[in-house]
Amino acid sequence: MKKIIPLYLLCFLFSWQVFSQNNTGTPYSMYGIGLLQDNYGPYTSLGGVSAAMRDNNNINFLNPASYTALDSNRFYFQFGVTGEYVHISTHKENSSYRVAQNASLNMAFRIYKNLFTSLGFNQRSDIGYDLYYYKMINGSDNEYYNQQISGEGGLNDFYLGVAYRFGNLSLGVNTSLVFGNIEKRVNLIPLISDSYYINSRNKIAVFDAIFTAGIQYGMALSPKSKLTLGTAFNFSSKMNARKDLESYKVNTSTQSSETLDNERLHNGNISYPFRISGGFAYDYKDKWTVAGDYTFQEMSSYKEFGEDQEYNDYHKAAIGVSLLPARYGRYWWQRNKYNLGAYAVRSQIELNNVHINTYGVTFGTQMPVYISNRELLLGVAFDLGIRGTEKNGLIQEKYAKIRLNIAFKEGWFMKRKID
Amino acid sequence: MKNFSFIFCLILCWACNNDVTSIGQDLLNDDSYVELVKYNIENSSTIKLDSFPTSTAKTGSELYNLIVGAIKDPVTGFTNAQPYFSLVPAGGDPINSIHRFDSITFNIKYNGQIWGDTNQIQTFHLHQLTRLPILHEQNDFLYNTTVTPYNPTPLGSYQILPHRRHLDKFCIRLDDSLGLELFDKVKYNDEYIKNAHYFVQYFKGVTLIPDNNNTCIFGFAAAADSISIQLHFHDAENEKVYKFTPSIAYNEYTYEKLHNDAAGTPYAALTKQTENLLFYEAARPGISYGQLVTQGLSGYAIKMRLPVAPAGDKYKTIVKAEIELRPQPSSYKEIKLPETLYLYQSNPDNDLISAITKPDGNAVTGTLIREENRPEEERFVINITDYYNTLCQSNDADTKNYVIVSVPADLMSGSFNRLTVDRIPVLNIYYALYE
Repeated sequence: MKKIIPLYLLCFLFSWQVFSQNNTGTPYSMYGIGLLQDNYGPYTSLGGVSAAMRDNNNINFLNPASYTALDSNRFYFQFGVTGEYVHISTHKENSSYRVAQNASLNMAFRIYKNLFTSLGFNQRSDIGYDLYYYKMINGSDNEYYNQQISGEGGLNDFYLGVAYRFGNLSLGVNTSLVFGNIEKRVNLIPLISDSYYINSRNKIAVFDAIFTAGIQYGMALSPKSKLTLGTAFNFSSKMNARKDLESYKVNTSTQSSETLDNERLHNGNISYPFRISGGFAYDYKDKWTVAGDYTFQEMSSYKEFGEDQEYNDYHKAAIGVSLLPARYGRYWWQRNKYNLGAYAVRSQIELNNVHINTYGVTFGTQMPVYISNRELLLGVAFDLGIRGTEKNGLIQEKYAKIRLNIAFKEGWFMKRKID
Repeated sequence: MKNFSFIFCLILCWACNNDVTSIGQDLLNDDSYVELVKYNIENSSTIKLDSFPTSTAKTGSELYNLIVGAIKDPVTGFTNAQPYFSLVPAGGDPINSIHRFDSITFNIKYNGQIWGDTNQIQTFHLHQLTRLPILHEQNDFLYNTTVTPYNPTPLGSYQILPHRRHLDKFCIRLDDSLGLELFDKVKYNDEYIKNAHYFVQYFKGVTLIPDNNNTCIFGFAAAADSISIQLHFHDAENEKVYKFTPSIAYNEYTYEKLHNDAAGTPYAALTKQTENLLFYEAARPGISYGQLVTQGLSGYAIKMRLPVAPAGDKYKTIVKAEIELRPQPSSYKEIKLPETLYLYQSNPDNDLISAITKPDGNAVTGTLIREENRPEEERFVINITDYYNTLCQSNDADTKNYVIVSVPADLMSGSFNRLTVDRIPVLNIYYALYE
């Protein structure tokens, strides 16, 4: 216990650091509430499947019904973070960036008989871009301006979930307190003498609750095989948000400034659209697992302060397979779980008549480490993929991600039979 | 524990110094941008100022230049410029009984400015005024239209081929009777010589009148050391000089009388300041679309009614507004373009209300933008950003949007430079859409 508490503290500080750092990265994050997380959670190396996944080693916070699969006498602590290296290119130039993101910090334990709970922090979306362009003034043939657009922030949530098991049926719900700031800045600097340049800062602060329900149903197909079906969903919800807009223009000669806008929309909201994921997980001989997921989010109804952002619906399909050679095998490598997966995403973004899609393959392992009175599962997942395209002047991002997922479980609630 | 700490530190260092700032320009969908919208200022016309000050009144300042001559400009017609000035005894060699009068001359110092045909003999006459010019009762100014009577018999006349080497020695021999009269007054230290005020009242002043057949006008410095009536006399050994020059104390009597007769040009239609000759109405053979003109001395200015920018999108603002005037190519080979144009607030009656200024108090001016090897692209640009922003925010912008572009009013009598425009003026508005 003395050793583990500093580790909790370290994880907490680290995840806070990841939440708060300036992650300048993909320009695709400039849209809406930022880049939605395509693949994270404890099953990243299985393509990010989650709807029907349940086991007693990982806190599957993406489907609250899965909490009932946890051990009844253990306290769970889980920490995950993704590091991403991205090669970014257009048809005429390329660059690269690195970010750390998608941190999550979760805890779970049984409350009473078949009632379990989990709580923690997660990142829901991420914004980080800083773009500087030299463009010709529309309508002019020899005059230019500098356009700098940047943004940072994203949405996080603190959730508290409960789940209850009725035989093979598990029901759960996560109550998430979604919060975060999205700040988008625009600087327009005409490169013409004696003019004004524009500084504009648009800040959206979000603070509201979202409820995510989950259902899982497990059935034994044979003595050696088991099928689990699951779904998790949240209904469309209007999140209270406050929008501040400050903009002013500055005289390039005298540097005197003039306020253009200083607005606060107190009663605005951002819609968090209906999202559902459904899937299956098939276990054979406690050795093989095959799982598949489909996720849908009705991003076409996404609105910011009443304005339709004209996005498409979000679709994701994922599949994964894992092999556990021998859960109680003699050798370390036999006790590891080896995962392989793939996913495809049709994002909500459509630019220049091109859908921004993402395709990825994943692989990794989950390695159990046994320490006295506690178990630790170290998950390492690799995710290689492509986001976007170079067509029509757009960006293609080839990324390599590594996600570390560390799950502890301790016997906090075990009663000693012999003192 | 150590291993985990190491892993965390590695990841913590992961995100740093990303630079993707110029990637994906086409990604932006142009939600924010700067655009240029050009509006033709269709309501543009030439006006002719009825009168404008050509003196400095009792401000203590002095005119730098005076213009004299007569010219027939193919664009604006006949223009005649007559300078008037008073003189006071300025001193020189003392005169006593041993000195003998030789002659009296009028001398001016050419300042290098000349317009017109310089290969014709020019004739000038110097006349003595019969009374002092009468200052405007409200502001003490004298105007281009101020008439001051003078003795029809000239004190002297002069013919000159207006080349620089001759103009630098511009000198009119005057009537000896005037010379002897002044010689005696100096010799006996008359009360008129001792007191400049008395002398001004006695002598009144002079005007230099060009012959109507002259073909050019030229400038000369108006300073005391540049204009003089000189008494030339001698003793047994030396030739000596005594001078009468303008004095800054009586500068209010120095002015320019100007006359323009636009007969034979479209501008003959302008008989009073309230009249406009629209750009398109000035079209004639060789001037396809129309014409606008502003010129010193002749008093022409360009009047415009600016289009008021529509309110447009909420998050759209004007970052620059400018008026663009393109000089007619080849129109300034003989008569140069003005160095600076001023912008004045006006009204439907074409009054020159006040100079439009920038927030720092300086006047809004237009300067010539030259394009190397592309004379057709040369243009005067007048930056009116602050004025125009204020105008567009005004509730009654549509009644305040009258402006006049002119050579500076206070230099109207100091230069014959001309801007002739044969393309409709353009209002360039640069908008920024930032949200």
